[in-house]
Amino acid sequence: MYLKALSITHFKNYGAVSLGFSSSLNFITGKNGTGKTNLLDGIHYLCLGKSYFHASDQQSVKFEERFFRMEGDFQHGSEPINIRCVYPLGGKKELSCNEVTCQRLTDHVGTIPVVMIAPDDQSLINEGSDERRRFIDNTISQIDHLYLEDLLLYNKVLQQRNAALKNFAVTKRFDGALIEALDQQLTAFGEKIFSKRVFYLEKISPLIEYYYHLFCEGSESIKTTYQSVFHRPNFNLLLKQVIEKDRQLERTTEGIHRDEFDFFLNDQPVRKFGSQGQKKTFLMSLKLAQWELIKSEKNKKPLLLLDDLFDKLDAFRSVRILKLISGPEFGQVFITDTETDRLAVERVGLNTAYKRFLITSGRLTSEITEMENSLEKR
Amino acid sequence: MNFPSKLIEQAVNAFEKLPGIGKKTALRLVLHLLKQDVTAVEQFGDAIVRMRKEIKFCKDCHNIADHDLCGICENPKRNRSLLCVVENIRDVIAIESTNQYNGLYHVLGGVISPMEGIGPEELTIASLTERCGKGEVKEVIMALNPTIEGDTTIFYLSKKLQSLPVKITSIARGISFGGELEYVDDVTLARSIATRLPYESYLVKGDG
Repeated sequence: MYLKALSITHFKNYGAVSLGFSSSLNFITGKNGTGKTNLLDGIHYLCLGKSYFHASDQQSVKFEERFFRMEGDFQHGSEPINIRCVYPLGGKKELSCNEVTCQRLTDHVGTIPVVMIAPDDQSLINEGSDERRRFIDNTISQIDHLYLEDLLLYNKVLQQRNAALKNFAVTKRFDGALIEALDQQLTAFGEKIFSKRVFYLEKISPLIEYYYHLFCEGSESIKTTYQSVFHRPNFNLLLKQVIEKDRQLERTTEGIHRDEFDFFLNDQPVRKFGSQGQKKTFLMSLKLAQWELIKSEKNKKPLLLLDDLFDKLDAFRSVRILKLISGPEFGQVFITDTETDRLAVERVGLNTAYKRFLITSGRLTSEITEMENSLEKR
Repeated sequence: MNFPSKLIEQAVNAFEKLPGIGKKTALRLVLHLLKQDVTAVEQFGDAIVRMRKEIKFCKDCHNIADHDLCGICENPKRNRSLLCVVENIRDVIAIESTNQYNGLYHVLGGVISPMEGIGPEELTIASLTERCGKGEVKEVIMALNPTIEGDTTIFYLSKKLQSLPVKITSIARGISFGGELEYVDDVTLARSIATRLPYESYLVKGDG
């Protein structure tokens, strides 16, 4: 699975640009603020129908323009896949796959699997549990379409329940049967989501450990933990027990939306005790484990988008990671970096075909130039 | 749009409020009415006003009616032990046009959605439990849309009716007749497999 050609119009700081990519490594270099990350985000849009960075599509339209449009030609084996994404400002975003409009954006998730690593992802380690839940949800959703459906339905019921709790507080009336009806649905969807989270977490844990030890030769033990109310039996009963608290707080205090994921290094939470380098390495391991899991479950190699990869990593680890992802088991990779020299140095010793793009300082994307053509594969 | 007459403008604005009518269509309709005889337009306006003023809602099932009871509830040939719960009047019309159902209806007037401010009190649930409590009804068929809110409503109603001696059923959900498996979305397909039927009951009987 790889992206052959991409054309983007009025997306973020881009005017109109068309690019052809290498099926293995693609280096995107340029100074700060030239639009390297935006290019990766454009690819992410085509894969998952949304920005990696922000929820609002409006922010992705170029300043003073009225729409953005992106089109990508992907190749999966011998099968060409054309994805188009158009968003008119104030209108409805439309995504089509091989000229067929996706009725719902969620239907598209999983068609073109993707894994992105951005500097902000450090929050996955440092911040609260919701970041890690999003990571797990993103991973499973790309593998199992029904998981995403169940998750959306769970969230809908959750919103309804919270709205009902608020209404009770306002009207000073309580309808136990309504809460019971909602609890029943919450339990049914929650159980399905829980069992899939357990299932895939068990699969991803050893992969995280594998990659971590690949980057730093140490003997640190890695552990991932998962805490959910669903570990305890009878969630439905629990909801009944906490209803007084829920009514006071006017929101649902227990459920799959409060699940906790945590990562441990030598039995210490990485969040608290990991060094900057360890955290960065851990993040890489997490994301590559995600890549590996999606690959083996879907039988498709996800696109790997690496934003500012070498930030914070020492030369030794950088080379190691670069060698790894340029290997034959990995698929198409996009790497952005500010310093062209560093990439040039690292090119030495790589025997993979690659393409390199330079985004010149300034405003316009049409100035992206292809610096070198792909080398012959040895 | 500039109108030469205030009266025309008011009429256009009134038509424009109707669903599916834009400004240009509204103007076309108004100009059409302008060409008609005054008496014809009077009859037209009258029909609408009378419709709105004199229409009644059946006191039993909340369907539209000309009298206190609707045509369906009045009909002595209908099966009074069957009650079909639907969201709105359009659903009654849809089920009636199948000619396959001979029971009575109960129009809820919506589905439960606290987010939109629709709680159980906003619907005709109290009168449903009252009807079911009278002993005549043996089976309640839930014919609500297969959405999250539809499901919430079904759960809620079954809680409210559980103490009464009525059987609660729901219309089948799954692959539409004449459809093709490969084009069915995976949620529907997964659900159809989970709620599969013994094939004896697959042979459709035309009761009800």
